[in-house]
Amino acid sequence: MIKFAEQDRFFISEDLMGLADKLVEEKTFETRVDFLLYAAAYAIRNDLSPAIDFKRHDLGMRASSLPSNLKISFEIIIPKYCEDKSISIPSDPKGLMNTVCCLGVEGARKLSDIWKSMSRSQKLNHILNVEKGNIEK
Amino acid sequence: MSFVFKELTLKNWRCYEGTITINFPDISQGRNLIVVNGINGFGKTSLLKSLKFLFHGTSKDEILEAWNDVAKSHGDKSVTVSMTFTHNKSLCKIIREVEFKERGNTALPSESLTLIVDGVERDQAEDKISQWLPKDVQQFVFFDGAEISRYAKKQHDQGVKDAIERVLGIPAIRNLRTDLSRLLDNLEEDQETLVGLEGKSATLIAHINELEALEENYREEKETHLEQKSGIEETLSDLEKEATKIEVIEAERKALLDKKARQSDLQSDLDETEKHISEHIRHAPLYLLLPKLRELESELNAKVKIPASHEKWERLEIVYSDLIENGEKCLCGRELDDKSERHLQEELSKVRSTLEKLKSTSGKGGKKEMTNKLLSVSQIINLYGENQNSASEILRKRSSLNIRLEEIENDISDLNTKLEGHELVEVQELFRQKADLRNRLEELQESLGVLKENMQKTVDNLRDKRRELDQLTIDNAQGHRLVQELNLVRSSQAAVDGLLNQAIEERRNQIEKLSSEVYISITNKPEEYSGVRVKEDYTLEVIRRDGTSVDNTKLSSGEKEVLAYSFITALNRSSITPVPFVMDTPFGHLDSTHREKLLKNLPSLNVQVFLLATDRDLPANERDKIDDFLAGEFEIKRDQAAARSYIEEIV
Amino acid sequence: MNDLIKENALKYEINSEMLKSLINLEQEKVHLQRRRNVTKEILEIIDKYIQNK
Repeated sequence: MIKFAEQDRFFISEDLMGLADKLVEEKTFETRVDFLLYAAAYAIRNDLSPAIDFKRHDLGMRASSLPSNLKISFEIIIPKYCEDKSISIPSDPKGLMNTVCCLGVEGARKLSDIWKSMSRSQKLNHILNVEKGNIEK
Repeated sequence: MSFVFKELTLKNWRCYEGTITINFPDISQGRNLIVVNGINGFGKTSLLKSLKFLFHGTSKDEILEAWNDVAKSHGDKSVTVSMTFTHNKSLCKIIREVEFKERGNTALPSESLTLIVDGVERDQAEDKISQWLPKDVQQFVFFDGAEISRYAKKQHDQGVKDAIERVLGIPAIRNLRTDLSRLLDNLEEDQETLVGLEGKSATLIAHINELEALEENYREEKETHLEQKSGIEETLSDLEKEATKIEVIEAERKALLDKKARQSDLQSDLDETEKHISEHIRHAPLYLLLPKLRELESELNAKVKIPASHEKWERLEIVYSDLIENGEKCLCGRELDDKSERHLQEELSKVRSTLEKLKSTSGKGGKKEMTNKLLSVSQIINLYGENQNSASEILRKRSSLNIRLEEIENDISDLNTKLEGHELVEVQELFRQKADLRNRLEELQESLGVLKENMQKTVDNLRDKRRELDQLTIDNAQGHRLVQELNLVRSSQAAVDGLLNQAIEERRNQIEKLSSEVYISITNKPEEYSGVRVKEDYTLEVIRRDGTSVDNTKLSSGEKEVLAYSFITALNRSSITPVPFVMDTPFGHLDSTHREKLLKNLPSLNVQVFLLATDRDLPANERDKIDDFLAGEFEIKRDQAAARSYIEEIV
Repeated sequence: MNDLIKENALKYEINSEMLKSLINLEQEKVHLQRRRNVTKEILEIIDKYIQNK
């Protein structure tokens, strides 16, 4: 099983930096990486393909900072998800990080649309009402 | 009825030019109402003013104003109002006349008053008239509807209080007390002269004088104490009122503190909830990944269970091998034939091939790694699968906390506004003052007790000494008579003292009872009000059924009018010398229900009642209601071309 | 009022009619600014009752 390399760092697309900063500023998420990881999970849940061709912005946070349960979940799910979607299965830690971040960017773009006219409270409701509200499919 | 108006004559009085005479009809058999109709501006109030002028005169300015303009322009220089009436079976006539004398450009009025009783002109007319109708009492018998609010005042000045007491006959008793005391002084002086200032009597008199001085001192001291006491009681009562207000404020201050404590608790709860929310947000990706994890879990489960099937195939391999190699008998005990052996050989090779296949697939990832994955996945599902629902619970909690916080913030802001400008120091100071005053009151009370005791001792002592002196006096006939007089005056004085206090109380109670009866019979709210309270200074309060009083300023104009009417009629019925009752446009503020009830009440007044009315006071459709007690009716008419009013009887 | 007069007359052992006369006398003079000779008239009433006793 391919695992995250502790020193590898998360990245996001430049176009999403504004949104990520705003979400942190209004305290919807504690860090920009929290947002990215949520967006990646959202992409998987909604069966999206990873984003491609975007200008990366290093978020400065290493994989080591990830909560272990989340780290393990991605490590287990990503190869299977890629296999199911017939996209290249990561073969090393960098590939795994790459896939998670690209999925994150794709998910974040969708969320950006959904959240554009929502208040913080509404976003929190959307995020936490997993079963009720935030599943597109 | 002892006082009945018979005939009124006006000459050049205000709007009535020339001489007009009104003969009032006889009143009998419960018919005591005389109505004078007139629209506004025709001369109703002029009639009322003529009565006031007749009995008590008026100021120089007013008399100049009262001089009819037409008469003035024609050079007719006299104004007269006269009235014939019966009083205590005598036929009386009052004539009040004003002659205007020219001096330069101004006219100087010169007033004369004539009183004729049973055909004989009397001197001291002013005094006599004042005896029948004291000036201060005028406002209660010549009742001006336009000045109604005066009667529902919160406080009367001393003049009004005196006037009311005069109607009730109190001043006569008060005067008697003063005069008896003066008489007693005179008699005691006579006694001193009679017994002579020598020997035993001189010592006794000296002793009596000392005791009198002592009694006087005690009396003055008692008065001062009582004044102080009532001052303190008044201040205390004001403080009590203030304290009641402050108690409300204190309760609000306490409520504010409670609310602030609650606000802080709620805020901590909210902070805690926000922390939980952050925690949930941090784990939100896991909640999203749960379905995928569950899928993986079942796949992994399937894969990890393959070893069980391995064992099955391996056991089969052993059974078939044993059968072929060692056994000649089948499991059922029959001998194996070739066909069966061949069949077993075929089955064994199938089993071996399956086993090969199985080993080749499961061997790649490694059983251990899969088991580890499965363990991790199951653990995560167990951990987050159940927590998922609590997220919405937390959100609900957060939203309800926010609503409660908002409510409490509003309450706090309201309370802060109410409490603005009320300092805590005020409260403490007030309670300190109250405690001080209570102590002072207790001291005074104690001191008063001692004073009373001393006074009683002195009075007893004085009485004994006087008796001794009386014994010395009684020796001769003149002395005997003097002692009898002294004793009778002393007893009368004591009786009048007792009578005065009781009479004031009794009269006030009577007025209160009568006012209440009238008020309840007229008011629109007999269920709500229980009556009228007449206070010590004869001001009035409407009392509710629960015993609380209504603030006079909160009464409607109509209610004030009913209150005033109740009091005046009660006063009239309590009066020792009832006087005809004149009401000028009295019903202006009354609705038809009040008016009807009030009209029905008029016959209960045991005097002539004059109603100077507009069509608003007595609408045409309500006239039949007064038929039973109407004695006569007049109408004020006006010749507008000649600018003069006149009065005609309606037959 | 009559009852009160009677009650107090009885209490202080004086004639209630006499007390009533005294009050009536004052009542007649109550409107006067100066009540001249009133003590003399009171004494006359009192003397009358002493004589009749």
